[in-house]
Amino acid sequence: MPIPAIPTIPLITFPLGGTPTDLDNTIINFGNGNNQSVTATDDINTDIITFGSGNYQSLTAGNSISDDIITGGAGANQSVTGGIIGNDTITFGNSASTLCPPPPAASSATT
Amino acid sequence: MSAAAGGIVGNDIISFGNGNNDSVTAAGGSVISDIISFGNGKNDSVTAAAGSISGDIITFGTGNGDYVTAGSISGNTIAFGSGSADYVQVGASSHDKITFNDGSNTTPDYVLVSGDISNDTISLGNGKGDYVTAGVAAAVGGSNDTISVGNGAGDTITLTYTGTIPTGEATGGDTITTGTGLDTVTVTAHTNPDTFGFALGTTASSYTMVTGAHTGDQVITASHNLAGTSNSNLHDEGTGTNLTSMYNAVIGAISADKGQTYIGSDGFNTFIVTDVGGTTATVGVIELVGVVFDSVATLRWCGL
Repeated sequence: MPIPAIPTIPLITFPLGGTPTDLDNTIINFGNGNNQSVTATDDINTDIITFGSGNYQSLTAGNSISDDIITGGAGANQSVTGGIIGNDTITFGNSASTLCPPPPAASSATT
Repeated sequence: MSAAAGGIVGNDIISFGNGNNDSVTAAGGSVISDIISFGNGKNDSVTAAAGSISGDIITFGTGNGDYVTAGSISGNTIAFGSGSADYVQVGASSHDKITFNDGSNTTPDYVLVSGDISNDTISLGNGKGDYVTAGVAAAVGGSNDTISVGNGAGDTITLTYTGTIPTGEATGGDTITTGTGLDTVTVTAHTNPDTFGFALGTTASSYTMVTGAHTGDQVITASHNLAGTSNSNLHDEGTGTNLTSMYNAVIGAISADKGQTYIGSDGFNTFIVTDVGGTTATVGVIELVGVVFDSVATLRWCGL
């Protein structure tokens, strides 16, 4: 009997290139840098997403963010933005907003 | 930290830490059936400026200035911590349970509804100047709501159009209970009887003033339903008295007045002073502004 193949889950780390239409069934780890962003023009669904300790980290979908497990990090001003946010489990950490500098010019908005 | 959607935030479990300005925002849509919890940071919020917030469980921490704003809210359970200046400001509210903890004596907690409220349970804790206002932009105010404010002076509950001429009649059936302090309750004309509860420990200078009460309404204390007062313990002081003299008379004979309730008027307003337990702490005072119930029989028929 053949051994079933173990499904491969894409692991996304920074730096990344391009702006995909969808980001589905992925593991997304933000690093500890500031101003990190992940953007999909359409959907971000069924992902495991972890923010790091950097400030101004963001997750953005043009349409829906659904069925994800999203965990915030220690950084401040982290955000999840989508047309629809549904059926997700989102846990943010403690931010240190008083220590946050104003956002500098974005260093990268790539995925 | 923020979770923002242009459309719907729905069926999510969202938990924030103790940072300030955490938010859940549905800018162009609605927040539906989520479980949202905030930490102890200040100015945390759930907003749906152009839509509704419904079926959610929203819990705030102890930070100041936390808030919920929306076009309308319904079927939510919203609980604020002990911060001050927390608020709910919406177009309409129905079947919501909104609970505030104790606030400060400087910046009030409040619920401000431009339209009507119905079937809500709203509880504000202790603190000065807390308020619930509904019907600002409409002719009617509340129906079948249960609203209570804690101790602290200057609390107000206003369920009426705030313009010059009310043009409608509310369904009524609201139960409004105040704590100690000089508090004000105002209701518009209503079809079903309202119930007004006042606190023991109120005095001639620190009591509850109710405007808009009419025949059929009921008056209760927090721990003693005056509807059960027998005729022999209910005393008609006539129309030539005033609140201060009635209160002083009760205090002057405090031990003998245990279980007694006195009703009188100055020809314009009705005053009720009751002594439930025979001590100053068990004396309660309420004024029904602008109405004269001219006999004990009438008052008892009104629920007393």
